[in-house]
Amino acid sequence: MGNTLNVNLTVCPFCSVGCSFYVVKNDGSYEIIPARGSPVNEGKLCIKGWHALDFVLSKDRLLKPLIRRGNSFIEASWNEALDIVANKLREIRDKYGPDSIGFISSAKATNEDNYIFQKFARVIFGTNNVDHCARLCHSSTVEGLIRAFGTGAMTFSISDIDNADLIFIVGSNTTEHHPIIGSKIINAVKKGANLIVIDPKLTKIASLATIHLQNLPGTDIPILNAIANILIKENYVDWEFINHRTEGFDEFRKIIEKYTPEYASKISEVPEKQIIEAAELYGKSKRTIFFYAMGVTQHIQGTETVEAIANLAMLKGNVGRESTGVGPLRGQNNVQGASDMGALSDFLPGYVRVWDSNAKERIEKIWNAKIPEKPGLTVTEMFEAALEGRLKAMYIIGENPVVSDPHPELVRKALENLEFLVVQDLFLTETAKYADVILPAKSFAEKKGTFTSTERRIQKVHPVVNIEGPLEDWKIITLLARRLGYDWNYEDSDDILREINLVVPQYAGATPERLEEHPFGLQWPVTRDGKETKILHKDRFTRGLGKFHAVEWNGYVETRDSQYPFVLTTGGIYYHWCSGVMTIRSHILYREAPEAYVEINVEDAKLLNIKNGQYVKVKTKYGEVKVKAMISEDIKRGVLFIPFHYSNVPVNELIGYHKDPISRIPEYKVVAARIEVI
Amino acid sequence: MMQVYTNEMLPKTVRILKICDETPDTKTFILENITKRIPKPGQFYMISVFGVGEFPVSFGSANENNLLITVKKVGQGTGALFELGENDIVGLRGPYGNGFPIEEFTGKNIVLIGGGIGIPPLRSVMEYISQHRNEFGYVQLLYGARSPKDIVYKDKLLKDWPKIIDVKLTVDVPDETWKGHVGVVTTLFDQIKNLDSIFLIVGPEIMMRYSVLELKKRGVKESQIYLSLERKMKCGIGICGHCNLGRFYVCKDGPVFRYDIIANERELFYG
Amino acid sequence: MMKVYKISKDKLKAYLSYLLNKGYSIYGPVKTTSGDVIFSKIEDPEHFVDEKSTNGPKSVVFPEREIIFRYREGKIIEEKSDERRILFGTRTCEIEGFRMLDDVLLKGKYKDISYERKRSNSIIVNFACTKACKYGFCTTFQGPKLKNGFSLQFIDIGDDYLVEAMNEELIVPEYFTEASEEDIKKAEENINNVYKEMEQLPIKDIEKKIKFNDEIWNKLGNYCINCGACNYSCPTCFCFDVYDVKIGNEILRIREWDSCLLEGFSRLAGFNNPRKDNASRLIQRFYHKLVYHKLNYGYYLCTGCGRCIEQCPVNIDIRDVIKYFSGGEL
Ligand SMILES: Cc1cc2nc3c(=O)[nH]c(=O)nc-3n(C[C@H](O)[C@H](O)[C@H](O)COP(=O)(O)OP(=O)(O)OC[C@H]3O[C@@H](n4cnc5c(N)ncnc54)[C@H](O)[C@@H]3O)c2cc1C
Ligand code: SF4
Ligand code: SF4
Ligand code: SF4
Ligand code: FES
Repeated sequence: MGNTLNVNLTVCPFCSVGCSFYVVKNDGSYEIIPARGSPVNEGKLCIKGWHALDFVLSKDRLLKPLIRRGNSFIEASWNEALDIVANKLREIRDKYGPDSIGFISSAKATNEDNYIFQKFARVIFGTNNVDHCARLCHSSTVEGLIRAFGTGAMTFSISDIDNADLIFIVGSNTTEHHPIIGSKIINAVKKGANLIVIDPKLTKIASLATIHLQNLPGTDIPILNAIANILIKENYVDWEFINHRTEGFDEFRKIIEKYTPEYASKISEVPEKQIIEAAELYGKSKRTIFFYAMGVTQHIQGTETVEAIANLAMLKGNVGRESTGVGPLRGQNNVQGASDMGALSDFLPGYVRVWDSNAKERIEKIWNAKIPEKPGLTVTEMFEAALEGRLKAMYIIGENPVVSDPHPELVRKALENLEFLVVQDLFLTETAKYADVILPAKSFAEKKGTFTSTERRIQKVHPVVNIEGPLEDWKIITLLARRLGYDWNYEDSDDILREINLVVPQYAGATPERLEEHPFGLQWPVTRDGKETKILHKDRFTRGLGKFHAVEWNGYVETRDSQYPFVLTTGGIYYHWCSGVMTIRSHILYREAPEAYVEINVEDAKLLNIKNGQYVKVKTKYGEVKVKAMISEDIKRGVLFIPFHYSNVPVNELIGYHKDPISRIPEYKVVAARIEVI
Repeated sequence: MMQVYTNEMLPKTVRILKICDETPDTKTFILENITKRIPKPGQFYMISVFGVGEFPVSFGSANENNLLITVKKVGQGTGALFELGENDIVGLRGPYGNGFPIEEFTGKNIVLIGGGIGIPPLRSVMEYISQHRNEFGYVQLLYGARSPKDIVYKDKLLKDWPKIIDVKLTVDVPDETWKGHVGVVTTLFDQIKNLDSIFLIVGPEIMMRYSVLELKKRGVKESQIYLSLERKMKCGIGICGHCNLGRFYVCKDGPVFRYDIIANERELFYG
Repeated sequence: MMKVYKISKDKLKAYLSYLLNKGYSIYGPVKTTSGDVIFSKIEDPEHFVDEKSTNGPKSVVFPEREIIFRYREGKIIEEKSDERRILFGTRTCEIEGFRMLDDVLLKGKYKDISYERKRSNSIIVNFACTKACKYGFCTTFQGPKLKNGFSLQFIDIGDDYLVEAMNEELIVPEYFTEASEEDIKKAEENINNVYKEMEQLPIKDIEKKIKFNDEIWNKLGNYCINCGACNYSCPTCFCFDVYDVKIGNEILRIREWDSCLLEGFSRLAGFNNPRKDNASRLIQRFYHKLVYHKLNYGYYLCTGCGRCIEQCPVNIDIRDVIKYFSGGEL
């Protein structure tokens, strides 16, 4: 008998694993059904996935545009609201110039939304001031991997995990942040694969590791370099690969000589013996997969740490072969796609540098517009510029920087400083409260479009829930473009995808029709004739030769002292997502983790006489928060951990002003702190 | 005859008639008893604060018109109840659970042992005993609170009940005013008069654990001991699965259990 | 009395159309172009397939989330649904689950009225399996064919289905003909095939063999990622949570599926919890299925549908647990 269409197939809106599920409606109630056919989740979901509709159906959804009147908002029609936005943005551009407006795109929006938004900024406003949260989580990945391999994305496929004999994880709490990938690693370990984990916390995945290197936050480079050093000394390396497929080896080799196990151990507090054992385990492995996440990227040396991982992989030829490779675990479900679409201040769609006039020409032709050479402001720089009065207006889609960006108090001031702020969101977020106009957007569940997962898998979603009022992000932008005198006539997200097929070479063959035929997606690059790519850099690196980078550990920018004797690190937890806006609206997810806490080692707690559940103050040079103490055996002594999801415990006020000079990612993971009993 | 079922998940709306403070974090609420049903000692109700949620509460005292409950503020639901005032509306379902099989204790000596907010169910037993005082033998009540200011039902414990039974109090942390016994409730056990009594224990799980241990040391049989247990409860009627303790549902098979029946349950006396 | 008919496979679609035209809401397994089979509302008979679905029909009678009542201006307004529907193409392991839910939710001192309404409004047209499915082990329990609890039961006998009818409500002479002895024999044979293909587990007395104090619990607990799938997917799991949602001046009391593998399921005030770790939560789940329910109701709370196995991200497998405690290896 016949088939129904995939009308009710969609992709999880939380992490970047890209799990698919169906939604059916019975008698008023929705049910989520994991897709068995998906090669990614194979009929499974994590708890967030099972609750992915809770926020969609939340009673707090914005349904009508809101316009500021003094200190409150009044409801408005779409026409009214869009007129105001178009007029005001035009006015500001005409008065202060193109670069007076900043556009923040969203890694939760579809590729089509992101593509249209950056085009909106670049073509209609003539500015590269368009960026999104990848800046805050994985811009160092994009930089690091482009420099090493030529492509800023996971080199292999999730299914490669099954046959790897070693999985090497750096700074990723995989079972909590990318649970379905985490589960695949667990299953591989059950079948006999080895597992090395570098993490300051004894996470679940670390507890299953063959070797857990429990280091101080921010000391991955010395360990990685020391392992590389041992590999070369013990001749565990793949000379053939190094000689034929890479460059920069000699310089690299020279630099790492000083990274002896003793030296690395002194910095990282990981026992020397464990570093040697890890090197041996890796040395003997035939097929190793590396994973890393925000524990690596959100760091002042984020790009260089990514490069150090790439070095280690190349040493043994662990790139471009089955069940090997380097896998950045991206944050948001579409952070890969938003980056691919050029929602970045220095990249056009398809990772064309804004200053690369040759490569740019092709796109300029299609767009019939000139694009400025000058890189735009990054997310954090936009707020700085707004504070200084250089930026006059902002247009923020689906992001909540007041909670998720560093230094919320500055972000707030920056927003107040603007002449005009548009926020396009599902909810009246902390950020939206500062807006002049709030535009209600459709969630993933109400729209058609594509998302690109961490394994470069472009998947199509379908509207599975109907909510009257909000519009698709791309639709809103198109309506604005028309008001600004551009005859953008996209009628459907497929129209935009067809343009993406032209503009972004990696997406050339990922046409709307093909993605309907491949309901679980195609992995980019997809050639014009529809061939996808499971593994990158097979016979040749995208950049030609793989490049070794001689990376050094630069020491701590924040050193612990008697005043601030702890290293504070921040991160996410299993039940919540980002600034919590989506997950606190799920009864079950909220119930599981209703409160923020600071995790502290038992011994440290004993010394300071801190009891479980007691309120304490955590202070850094930059700020302080009041939070409940959670005493744990799983965290390293001298380290504190606070989850960043809770707006009532704004940990981002605690972090410093340091940034990775290359990717301009802020340092979220290492700040000297102290803890006080109250 | 066909039984007519009503939707037991629908609460009745009742008014709060009166509120009094018991301790800094405990209040007594007198509610309308609109069903006029008189619950059995040890039974409980599900109380709703509409918009916040529903939670189980034992009753302390009841008559045709009033239900008395005493609640400690520990979280969202109880916190929201504390915000309400006299004449405000709450939701009420119940009474649920088995309660103490008090009729079976006729002619016996009884020892009531309570800790902290575990006292309301014992108060409901005391109400029964005071109305049927001569049906029981020697009755003792041993009650422990954290500190003198945490003692719930002071009037009853200090004035009313000592007139008809033997009441012994203790606190963990005394203050200047306290002249009585200091120590956890088990330190009162040497003053138990009859080890052949029926023992009714209500309080935190840890306190019940040590009480049972001490009683057993003294030769008390497991079948002489009754406990009233607390578990998370979402329905109160045996269908939501939250209050599972081994094969039992605390809401419908309990909350009162004769100790020997649950003695081997793995999750008893957790912590 | 049960009567036996048969229907030609060619006529199945027409029969479904007929039922749709009579105004029934029909829910059943449909296949998507992506190849997955999901149990959902059938709008077009073409979409129906005679296959086991990923989710099964539980949510039709016991939705993932449902409103118990609305509270407005001091008044409680009950939510009622009285959609009359046919569940067409259920599997035995699913409907046997209904029977177990009935015992808990309808046969105690108090009834779950929301469930009862949906349940009693659902007409069951079961399809007994004639092939073993990948993860199922129904032959350890009731087997692939229902003895009762259905309106019609279809059994594949080649070009036709044998149809057992508990009542005549859905029997239409146009589509159904008399079944012969031979047809009945063929059906029996086909059902027996499942018994041959499927491994029967050593379930006997498992409630006496299973132990709390065993390393297996910690081991499995270390793997479990608390996704809740083993509960959400199970046709016999009934636990739910209750909470309030405020919209303007209206308050909704909602009940939603819960999972005993989650920490908050049993957490009390002050973060006290009788089940602090994954090991004790797994013990609860397996003991409920294999011990407690058996003690209370005389049978195991499992129909062998295999969904918890299929949907567990870390392959925690109830079959392994049963075998392990019957002396096998893990
Ligand atoms: C049979 C029985 C009788 C009780 N009698 C009394 C009484 O007479 N007086 C009194 O003050 N308290 C009594 N309790 C305890 C009371 O039900 C809890 O303190 C209350 O549910 C906490 O609700 P909350 O909304 O304030 O807490 P929440 O905000 O829900 O949360 C605080 C914590 O309590 C937990 N919790 C949620 N629901 C329950 C629940 N139903 N039972 C226990 N913990 C829960 C939550 O998981 C959370 O960890 C009784 C409990 C039971 C089971
Ligand atoms: S693993 Fe990620 S994509 Fe998959 S269900 Fe969980 S949150 Fe969603
Ligand atoms: S326990 Fe597993 S196999 Fe048994 S009925 Fe539930 S989901 Fe099916
Ligand atoms: S399905 Fe597996 S991982 Fe998920 S909660 Fe159940 S046992 Fe744990
Ligand atoms: S409270 Fe629901 S089963 Fe006991």
